[in-house]
Order: sequence, then structure tokens, then C-alpha cells
Amino acid sequence: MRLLDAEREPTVLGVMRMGIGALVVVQSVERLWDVYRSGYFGDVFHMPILPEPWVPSAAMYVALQLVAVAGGLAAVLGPWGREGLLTASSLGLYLLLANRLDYHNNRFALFLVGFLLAFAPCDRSFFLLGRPRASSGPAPFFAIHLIRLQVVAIYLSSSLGKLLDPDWRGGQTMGLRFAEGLDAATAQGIELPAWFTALAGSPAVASAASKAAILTEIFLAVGLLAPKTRAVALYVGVLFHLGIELSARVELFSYVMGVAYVAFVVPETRERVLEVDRSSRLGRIAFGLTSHLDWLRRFRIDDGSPGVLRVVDRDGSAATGVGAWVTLCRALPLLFPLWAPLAVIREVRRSRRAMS
Amino acid sequence: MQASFLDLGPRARAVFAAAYVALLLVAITHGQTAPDHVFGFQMFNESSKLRITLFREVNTPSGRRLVPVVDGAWRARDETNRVRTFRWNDRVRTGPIRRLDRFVHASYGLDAQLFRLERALLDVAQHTSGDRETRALVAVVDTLKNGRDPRTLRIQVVR
Repeated sequence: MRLLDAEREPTVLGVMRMGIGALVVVQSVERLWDVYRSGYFGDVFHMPILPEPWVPSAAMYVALQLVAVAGGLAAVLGPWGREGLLTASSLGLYLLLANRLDYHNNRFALFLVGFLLAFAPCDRSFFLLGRPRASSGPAPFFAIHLIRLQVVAIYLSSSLGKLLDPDWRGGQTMGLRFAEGLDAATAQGIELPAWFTALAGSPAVASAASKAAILTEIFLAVGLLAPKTRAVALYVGVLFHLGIELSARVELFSYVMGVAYVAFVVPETRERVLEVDRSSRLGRIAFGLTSHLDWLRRFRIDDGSPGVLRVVDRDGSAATGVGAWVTLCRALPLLFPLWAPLAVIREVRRSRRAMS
Repeated sequence: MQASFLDLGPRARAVFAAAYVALLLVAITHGQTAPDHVFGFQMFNESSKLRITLFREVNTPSGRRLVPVVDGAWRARDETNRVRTFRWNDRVRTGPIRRLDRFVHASYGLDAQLFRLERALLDVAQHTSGDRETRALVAVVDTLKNGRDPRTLRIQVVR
């Protein structure tokens, strides 16, 4: 019951609303493009899950997709964004049921997250048009907990399916994917180094990669739920989805999961302090990056001592130099992939200093 | 502060959450058993391939005979004895099963594509009523499940 009644600061949810709204728009425009390019699915072979009479006509289908586009746009702009998300995601789910040939996991995940987000207080911030109707004070977060559960369910279902399949956990499935990738590169005239081809063609490597993929998904499912491992899980998840995005065609899946990850951040804002000397070059860079990229409102920016870049973390610990950049990268979404490499550099420098 | 009808009260939140979790479990459980894993979040589940070769069963003076469908099209007489051209892709336009006579990746797995192929054959049989010659559509499907275990299946739909 505590999770159902807990109230948190909703500011960051505006970012989710805009992100999911934009993805809904992209998704609906792509379906409209499909109609333009290939015709309406209902006029040819299709497989409705709903009774056939419930499948919309071509004109109604186009109208519903346009309504979904409008709903997504409302979510991006702000006013009536939650209502727009509810409408667009409900229509999206209905249209998936109208033709299971159109079903793709990423579309289903997008509509589920959009549907849940409509019940979260995501209408208190980030308005491109007009002003929020409600204050940004604490509000119920139960729908955000459901989005977290949804994300975990996706990873668990995916990983358990692979774990129970001997071909998957043994590396056969992954090995063939690697082989197809090598074939595709060759077909495109890309010359890969011999060591890489040998590595990608090795059954042992495919087996290890399969086990790593399964373990990664299981870790994401568990790690995202536990506050102590959440930041590491988010980092692993970002790299995991970047890898998938680069190596496979998964439509909007990586973006959906990226936006859904916002549900896992601490919702309270401005709990960290960035102290910068804006007269220095480094200070101006840090100030500019934080001003433009701090979409989750992690930092309060104060004037710092001359020549000093200092970050005070949530727990009161302060860092300067590389340590300050580590904290900045941890909190700014676009710089998040740099968090771990910078943290490693910081630790190496620390250990070197300790040794000398 | 009640800002939207979407701001649920405490009791409605509990009902909503319970209903959502129950529906999610039903959907995911269904996805594990459905041939195409719809709602199951089974990503990259197989690296299987299939090749569909399409035939028509027609009556000839010497009895019934299988005639291969070349390039996904065939010609047959309609009820007015006029010769018409019918095409597989006039009806089947989505997914790997739209491609004939070559190995293609079976997205969502072999079971998913065989399930869809069977329905597609039924659909094509139902929507080529002008073809008065074809008695049945037959798909001979060569499959490779995750690169091994080659098999040949035959799916037939009588018109």
C-alpha cells in the first residue's frame, strides 16, 4: 500500500511525457506511411485478435492514427498531455489487437508505458505551450511504480525465455546472428580484420556472449529494483540497448526503454550542487553542459571559487576535478555513458596518488 | 490537488494496479504459449530460417497434379472461362511469408511463421474465388531451426 500512496516530486515526469509522446508520434506516422506505401492491412491478409467486425475500415484506421498523432503531440507540448497519452496508447493497443501481424514487442512496450504514464502526475512540468494546470508539489507515484514493474517484466520474460531454450543458452542462436552479421558486412564490401572474423565465428565466443546477454537481462530485472544497484543497472542497460541499437533493427525499442528508465531516477530535483567559476574556460563548459543537458533537474548551479569546479552530491560529499565530472556525467542523461570510464580514470588516479 | 480525471483516488489506485498486474501476467503467460509469442516479450528468440515453395493442386485428364507457382503468380480460368492472373502478394504483403522460393529469417521463430503461413494460405484460398482451376494450395516449407535440424513440411489448404 505504501507504494500506491507514496507521493514524490513529479518534475522529471514531464521529460517522460515528452519522450513517450514523441515516440508515439513517430510510431503513428510510420504506420500512416505504411498505409501510403503498401496499402491498408485490413484490405489484405491480416490476423485480428479481436473479432473481424471490430477491425476498423481503412478510413477509420487513418483517422485513429491521426488522433494518435494528435495525442502524442499534446504529450510533447504539454496541455492535455496525459489525456493525449491515454488516447494515443489506448488506440495503439486496440490497433495491435486488430492485426497481430503488426505486433512488435517495442510497440506493445511503448503503448503500455504511455498508458501507465497517463495515470502519473506528468503534467506539472516541461510545457512547450501554456502552463501546467497543477502545482509541482508531491503527487502520487503509483503509476511510476507500475512502469518500473513493466520494465522489469520485459527483461524477466525475455531472459527466462532465452534461459529455458538450450539453443539460446548454448550459443547456437547467437552464433548464427554473428554469422549473419559477418555475411551482411561482406555483402556490403566491408573488410573486417581476420581476428575479428575468427572471434565472431567462434562457437565459444557465441556461447559466452549468449550467457552474458541472459545474465545482463536478469541483472537488469533485479538490479533496477534495488536502490543500491540501480545506477549501475541503468548504466548497464544503456550500454545494452546501445549495443542492440547498433547491431539489430528493433524499431523504437531502445528509445522506449531509454525513456522508461526515467521512471527509475530519484524524482526529487536540485539535490546536487554545481559550483563553477564562469570566468574560467572549464567552468564555462561545465556551466553550459549542465544548463543545457540537465533535463532531469539534478543540479543547482552556484558561483564557485575562482578556478575551481566543485560538485556537492546528494549525501553532502564534495568532489573537484575528475571527481566533479564523474558526478556530472552520472546525472546528465546524454553524458551518462561517460560515467563509468571517468569513474575508472578517477580510481586509477587515486590509487596512483596513494602509491606515490 | 485534483488536476485531472486521471488522478485516481487511493481505492481506485489499488484496483487499477491489481487489474494491470493481473492483465500483464495473463498477457505474458499467453505470450509464452502462443505460436507467435504475441505479448510475450520474446526478443530475438530464434535464428531459424524457412523457404516456402508454393504449389497448386489442379485437375488434369490424368488426375490431380501439383503445379509449381512461379514467381508467386499463376494463371487460371475463371467462371467465364477467361484466363486471369493471381498473385500471392496480392494478399500476403507482410513478414517473411510474403517471400517465396528462398530462405528467409523466421522472425519470432519458426512456429510463428508456420502459424501465419497456414492462415495466409486459407486467406489466399478464400480470396481467389475467381480461380476455377485450383483445387488446393500447397506450401512445401523447408525449415532450419537455429541452423540445424533441416525439415520439410507440407501445408495444404483445400479450396
